[in-house]
Amino acid sequence: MIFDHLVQGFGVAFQLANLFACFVGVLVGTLIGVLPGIGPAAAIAMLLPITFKIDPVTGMIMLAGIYYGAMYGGSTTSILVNIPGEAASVVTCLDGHQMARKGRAGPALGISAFGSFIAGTISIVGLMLVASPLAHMAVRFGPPEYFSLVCLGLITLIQLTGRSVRKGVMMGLFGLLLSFVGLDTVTGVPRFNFGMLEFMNGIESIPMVMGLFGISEVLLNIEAGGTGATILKTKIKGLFPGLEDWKQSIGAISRGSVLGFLLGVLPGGGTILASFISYATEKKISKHPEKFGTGTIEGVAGPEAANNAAVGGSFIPLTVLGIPTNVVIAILMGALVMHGIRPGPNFIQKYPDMFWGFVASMYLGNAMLLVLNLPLIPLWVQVLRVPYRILFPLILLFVVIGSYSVNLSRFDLALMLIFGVMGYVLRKFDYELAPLILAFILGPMLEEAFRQSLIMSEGSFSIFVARPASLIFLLLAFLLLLSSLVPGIRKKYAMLKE
Amino acid sequence: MIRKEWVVPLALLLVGVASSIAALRLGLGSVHRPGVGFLPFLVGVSLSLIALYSLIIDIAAASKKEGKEKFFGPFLVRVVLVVCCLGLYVVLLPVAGYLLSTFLLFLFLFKTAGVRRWSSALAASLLTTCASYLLFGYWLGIRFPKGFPGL
Repeated sequence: MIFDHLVQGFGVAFQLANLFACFVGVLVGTLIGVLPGIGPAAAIAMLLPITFKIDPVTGMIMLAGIYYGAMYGGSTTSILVNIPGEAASVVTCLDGHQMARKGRAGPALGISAFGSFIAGTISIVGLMLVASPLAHMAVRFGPPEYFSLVCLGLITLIQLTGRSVRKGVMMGLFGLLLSFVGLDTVTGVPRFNFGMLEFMNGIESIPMVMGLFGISEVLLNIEAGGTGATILKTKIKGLFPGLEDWKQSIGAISRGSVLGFLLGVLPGGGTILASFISYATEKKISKHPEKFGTGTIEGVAGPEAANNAAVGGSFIPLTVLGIPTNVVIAILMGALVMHGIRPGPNFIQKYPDMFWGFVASMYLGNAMLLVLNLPLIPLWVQVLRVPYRILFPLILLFVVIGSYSVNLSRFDLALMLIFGVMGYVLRKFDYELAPLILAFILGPMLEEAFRQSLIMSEGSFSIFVARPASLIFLLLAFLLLLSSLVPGIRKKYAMLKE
Repeated sequence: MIRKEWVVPLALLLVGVASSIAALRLGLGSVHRPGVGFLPFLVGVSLSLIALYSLIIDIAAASKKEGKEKFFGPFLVRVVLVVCCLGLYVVLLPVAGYLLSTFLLFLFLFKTAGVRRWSSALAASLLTTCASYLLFGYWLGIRFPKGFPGL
């Protein structure tokens, strides 16, 4: 059954337009990953408008390619420059750059590419095997389960991202408020639109995301004076890791793959957390933990495998429940919705070509990345030499045109700028933007489920705890919130003890 | 005196209070049949309460803090200039059209970014504007405003 679907998927993925989109996606993704100062979320938001001109399947293949391509590319900068190309490659700097300093840049780059390929492939197999049965289960979910699940998702995200739960909760609530702008879906009454026609259909998500991520990222980089990349002058040789390197890395790659895939499924888990936890795990179980940070190959292989595996995992909640688990997936969901496709339990059944074509394209994309990346390393090194003063006007151009092209509206440009400044201020004060975006995207679903549940139960809130699945989700959410209080209580207890 | 770390919780407090009042005016309905303002009211009140709590914590922490931390990077002026320039672009776009306003935007951005020679900045701006028009306007068919030059 799965095999038949996969064959059908490869039929879609091998169509010339889709093959080209996959190639462009992984290439652009690698470029974005290589370049510090621009992450996959901003890049996907920037290129989103292009996908409105093409078939949704082709568009999704390209955008997903950017996401997992960026995970490959990020390691190159971490290893050669000691600056993470994107956030998920932060830990790769620790041992990757040390390996490069010892003249082992080749094996470091090689193992990160091979590890990424192996983990990426394992996670696609996981996605293929898990998504369909889970979707069958999720069909039985009603509004109370959805309400509780969205609450759990948001709370997990707030808990796992950022340093302050309080700030995360505020961002989530602010995102929810922004999602209420526009016509009420049930009654058609306009809300919080300040009498402006442009807000009748709500706040446009593309200019918002572009401002919050694209503009704010550029402003922060300009303020810091650019990235000032200094590339290590070393000969890159021996890209194919030797037998000893493989022996040391294969365990880390396997563990990273499984860990990354599982963390990718969790809301807020994503690629960054996966790479950090993989590094911590490898260090903990290693016979020589003191060598970590001095150039051990396991410290590169594990995290790089984990961040790639997390990409595959993060597509499960989107395709099975219609719930994005991180910002990139939320933007992808926004793209699907703009094409009139709403992901949810019926997504795989309703759009088999899209799902299986997309899965098959990920196999192809991973293979393309492996074949392309190693020979292209000298090119990426040249790209890294482009100064930020040349790069940032170009990034701004993409952001401006991307925002404008959705509705050909100057209003959207103003909106983008307002959100850009807002994003800059929030990030300066350590407020995470991920809960804001996710709450904004999930807001309408949360409200609809909430109101439907109360109508179903004739006003009784007990409906949320009377149904087992909903109760479990709410309990988990509550426990998570409670766990965030533990460090504070411990600290106070320790102070009292002293 | 208002300290800079109070800006965000204070702004969120105002947003929370304003949206709670607006939601009240929209009508809360009943628990049996929640109205248009029901959930926005709950969310607005929650945001106000947490923002207020946050503000109190920050105010309490401010009295304990000593010394000045460096908060802004060395090129804050450039940030302000870029934001103003983008604002001007939004105003100028329908009047001057895409080609002229984008050219001016780039010229300004390249100069702000530290491209010293005018000839280099002019050439780079012209090249980027034309390339972007070819890619987005011609190839992807995005209709840009022509403005008074009619280009």
